[in-house]
Formats: sequence, structure tokens, C-alpha cells
Amino acid sequence: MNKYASGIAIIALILGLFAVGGVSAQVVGVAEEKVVSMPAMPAAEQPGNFTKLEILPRYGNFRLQPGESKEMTITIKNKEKKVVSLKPNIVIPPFSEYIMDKEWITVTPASADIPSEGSQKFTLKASVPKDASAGFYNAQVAFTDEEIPSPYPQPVPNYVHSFSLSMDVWTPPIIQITTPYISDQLEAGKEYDYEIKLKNTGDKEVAIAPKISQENYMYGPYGTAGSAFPDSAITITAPKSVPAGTTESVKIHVKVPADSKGMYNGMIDLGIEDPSIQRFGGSGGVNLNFNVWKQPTEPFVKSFTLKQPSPVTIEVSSSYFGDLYKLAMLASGMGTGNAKEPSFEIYLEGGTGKAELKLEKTVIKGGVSMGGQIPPWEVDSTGIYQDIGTQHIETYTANIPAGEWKLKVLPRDTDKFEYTITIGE
Amino acid sequence: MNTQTKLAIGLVGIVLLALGIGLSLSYKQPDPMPPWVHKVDWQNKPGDAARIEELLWTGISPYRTEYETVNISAGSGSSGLRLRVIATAKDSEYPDIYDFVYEGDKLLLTGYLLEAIPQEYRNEAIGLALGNQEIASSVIGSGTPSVKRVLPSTAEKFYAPKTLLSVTWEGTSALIDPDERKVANIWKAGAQDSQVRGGSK
Repeated sequence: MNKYASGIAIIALILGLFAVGGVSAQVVGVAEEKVVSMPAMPAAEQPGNFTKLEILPRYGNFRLQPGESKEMTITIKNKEKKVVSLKPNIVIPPFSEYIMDKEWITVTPASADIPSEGSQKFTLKASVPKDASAGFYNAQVAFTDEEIPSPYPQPVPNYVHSFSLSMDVWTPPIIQITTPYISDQLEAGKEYDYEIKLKNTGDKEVAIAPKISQENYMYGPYGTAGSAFPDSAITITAPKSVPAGTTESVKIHVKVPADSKGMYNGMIDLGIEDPSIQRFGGSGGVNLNFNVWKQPTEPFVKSFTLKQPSPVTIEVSSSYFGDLYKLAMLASGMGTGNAKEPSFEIYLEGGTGKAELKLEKTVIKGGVSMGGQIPPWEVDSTGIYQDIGTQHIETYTANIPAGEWKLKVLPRDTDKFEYTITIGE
Repeated sequence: MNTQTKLAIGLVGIVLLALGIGLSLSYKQPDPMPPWVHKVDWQNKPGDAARIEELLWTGISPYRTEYETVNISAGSGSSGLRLRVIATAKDSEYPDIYDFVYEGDKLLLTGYLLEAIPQEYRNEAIGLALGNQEIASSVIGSGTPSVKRVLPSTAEKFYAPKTLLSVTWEGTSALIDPDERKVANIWKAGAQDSQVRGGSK
């Protein structure tokens, strides 16, 4: 019998080892939205009458959909020379628009005694019920009942040892808008067509009523610049609704008046009846940004004199941003019909007629930044190489006789270019 | 103890042994790589690479996508081990770049340039920025902007401790809160000084 008992004990021991291994093998996934570790309040800065505790972090930010839950850990260090007892209490501010139930939040353990210089980890779990409304919710966890005294009555006690949780309960929009903005370069007198696709991912038909928004920013009470053309130049054709599980198109036709110049900035209000979109005060908008310009018909002319027959080198280059504009347009799949690479028609004309220009080389030149003048919230990217654009440079050569010459450059699909005329080898 | 009892105990022992063997065969080594990382490549892999990776998975994360490849290159610095992490996502042509220093079992983020943002969110951010009258009128003819992710630790100085998107043209930038779909802050480079407006949430 002893043999059997020993065998069973060994097997149980092996199984026990597996159980331990199973626990250690757990990997905690990292959610996209992270809780931000705020510096703990130094114990020395706390008023002397309050218990000295370090709470890390002090704030948390969750983004959850109804029915989801998420956990995080809060660590509290006892800086006192005695044991401190903690009992987490969930406090819900009564004055916000969206008020959560205390039951959404649990903190474990429910209480703890922390020895002097010891620390305790608490696990906070937020669970959003399936029927919760989308909105911003707030809660506090008070670990002690110590309050910051106030000479005035407070709607909620200002707890000294607290953790604040803000929670964005969100629902994905039922209608997905494939093209949230249309940005293009238009030529006066021409007509353009665009398409905005609306995909209904829900199980109900959603009504839409697209129209040009009255919030046309370029003129009206706030703007001083005139718009390139009136709203009436834009025609919208759309169905009245998007059936469940289907994709419908909103078609935009722009007839650019022949005399228009400058910018048109406006917005199409899609009038989507989708609460998750309407939550932000709109009903789905597509921004329109058009730059109207006229393709020059006459070339730019630069005259120069050649005192003796000589080889001449002509270099013409596009701008960085002209190219970036087009590359990005292509990448976003918009306006590809209008987005073209910059090109130049180049002539060299003298008393004897046109010189024969030979394309010697095409250079692609890039610009790289490691900082420079950047917004302060991008300062963490300083020192990392950033491609800021490319430039196309074309070099032509010709052997021309002495006399008066004219370099003629007719640019296409660029609003800026540079040239160099080099006389001699 | 009679023979039947002995047989029963023996049978229980065999069942438990089989269970133990079965469990040992089905037991897999823990996979430390999170589900949102598909492949990790090292250059100059150090001895404590496993520990660095463990710390790294809590220090980086993709924005509404998954990392196809995370490339980690290590180089020695004046203090600690310098790490350049370049993470690529299938649905973005730009990578996320992180700079870390690994020293004393700690990973310190020293810089980042996060542009691995799926096209739909990139477009949405630009659309939100252009919805602001001031931005729209400032960026006429400036082409298409860059869109970069701003981590909560940076964002809290300008708005709130949450992930934001920076939409930047030459000399003009809008800090976008993608959750609330609004422009949280505006920056303009001026001849005399730079201008930052907006504020906390």
C-alpha cells in the first residue's frame, strides 16, 4: 500500500508542477489604450496631518465599448512608520452628463493593511454593461476617508488618497465614410466628379440627407478671404438611405466657373442618422478643399546673351511640396484623375530658331529632417530621420551659337519651379 | 487489503500517470510575443534579448492595427544599451519608430516617431483638422500634411493624457483628439515666435 501511496503522491506532485507552470505561462496582453503612469505624489509634499501614501498611477483612461471590461493595477506605497489600513471606496461624481453605476467598478482586494515602507497592489476592473450609453464617464477610488478640508461645502468630498478614472464608452459608427475629405487642385472652367462611399455595417437601414453645409469657413462672419466659387457650383446626388449591410455612393459634381481663382473650403453635411456620429455634434461631414488655378498657356521667358558659341546646360526642378501633394493624393486614392506628376515644356529660342535640347539626366532629390521647426507635441521625434519630400530635376544640354537667346518654360501640374542656365562646360 | 482494492488503486494510479503524461505533451512553452506582433527581428541581439522583449511589449503598441514586423537594433551607448525599434503595419506605408535605452533592467523611451496609422484614421484626422476654420485658411496650397501619433505622456502637456494625432503642414499643426473628433490644440510657427493655443480637456 505504501508503494501505491508514494506513486500517487509523486503523480500529484508532477501535476502540481504543471499547474504552477500554467500560471507562470500566462501572458498579459497589452491594450492599445494605455493607462498613463503619473508621477506619484511625493510623501514629503503631502500635508503633515495626512497619511503619507504614494499612489501610482493617479489617473487612468479607458476606452471601452458596451459589454467590454478592462483591468489595471494601482500600487500604493506606505511612507509612514506604522501600518496603514486601506479600504477602497468607489466615488461617482454626481455632476457629469453621463453617470456610471458603482457596480461598473470593482477593486480587489477590498481592504489591505500595508506595513511601514511596504506596498500593496490593487486591481481595478471596469465592466461596462451592454446597455450603457456612449459617453464620457468618471469615477474616483478613495483608498482612505481622509479629505482635503474646504471652507465651502463640496458636492463630492475631495479625497486625499484617490485614483481618478475617466472612461470613454463608445460604439463604432454604423455608417463608415470612406472619404472624410476631398482635397484637389482644379482648373477653372473644367468639371470634376468625386464619390463618397457610405457603408452600413449595422442591421437597420440608415437615412441620409447630404447637403452643402452652411459652415463654409472661407467667408461669412469669421473669414475675410473670398471663396473661389459659390456653393451652387457643387451638385450632390445621393440615395435617401443606406440599407443594412450595403454600400451606397454619394456623388459630387463640381463645375468650376471659368472666372474662378483661389481656394474653396467647405463641407458636405451627410445628414446621417447614426447616434454614434451624432454624439459629436454633427451628422457626418466631408471636408472640401479645392485650390482653383489656371494652367498657364504662355511659357515663362528668360532672355540671355551668348557672346560666343558655347554648350549650355538648362536645369529645371519642381518643388518639394508639389510632389508631396500628388503622392499623398495617390496614396489616399482620391482625385487620382487630377493628380499628375509635374512636367515642363522647355524651349531655347534664338535668332536662328529653336535649339535642339537633349535630356541628359533626371534627378530625384530628397529632403530629410531631424527636427527643425516642429510643433511642440512632436518634439519626441527630434533626431529621427523624417522624409519631408522629393524633388524632380531635369537637365538638358545644347550647343548653341552666339547671340540673343530665350529660355521658355511652360510648367504643367505644378505651381512652382526653379531653373538654372549654365553657360560653358 | 484484498486484490480488488489493490487493482482499483493501481488503476487510479495509471489514470493519473496517463493524465500527467498527456498534460506534459500538451504543455507549450509560453509565447511572450503579444498577439498584435507577428514577427520580431533582431540586429546585434544582446544576451538579455528575452527580457528586453518582455519589457518592450508593455512599452510599445500599434494604433488601431497590428505590427507585421518589429525590427529591433541594439547598439551600445554612453549609458546603457541603445535600442531603435522600427515597427511596420500592413495597412500603413509609414512605420512606427521608437528609441529606447535599456539599463538596469529598465527600458526608457527616449524618442518616437509614430506614423504607422491606417489610411482611414489618417484621412479622418486630416478631415477633422481641415474642419477647423483657422487651420483650413492657414494651409492653403500647403499640400498634404504628415499625421503622427502623440503618446499620452506627451499629450498631457498640451491637452490630456491620451493618445492623440498630430496633423502637420509646413508651419501649422493641429493636435487631434480622435475619440472626441475635435481639434484639441493648434500650433503655428511665426516669424517672431511659435504660437500654441488650446489647452486641457
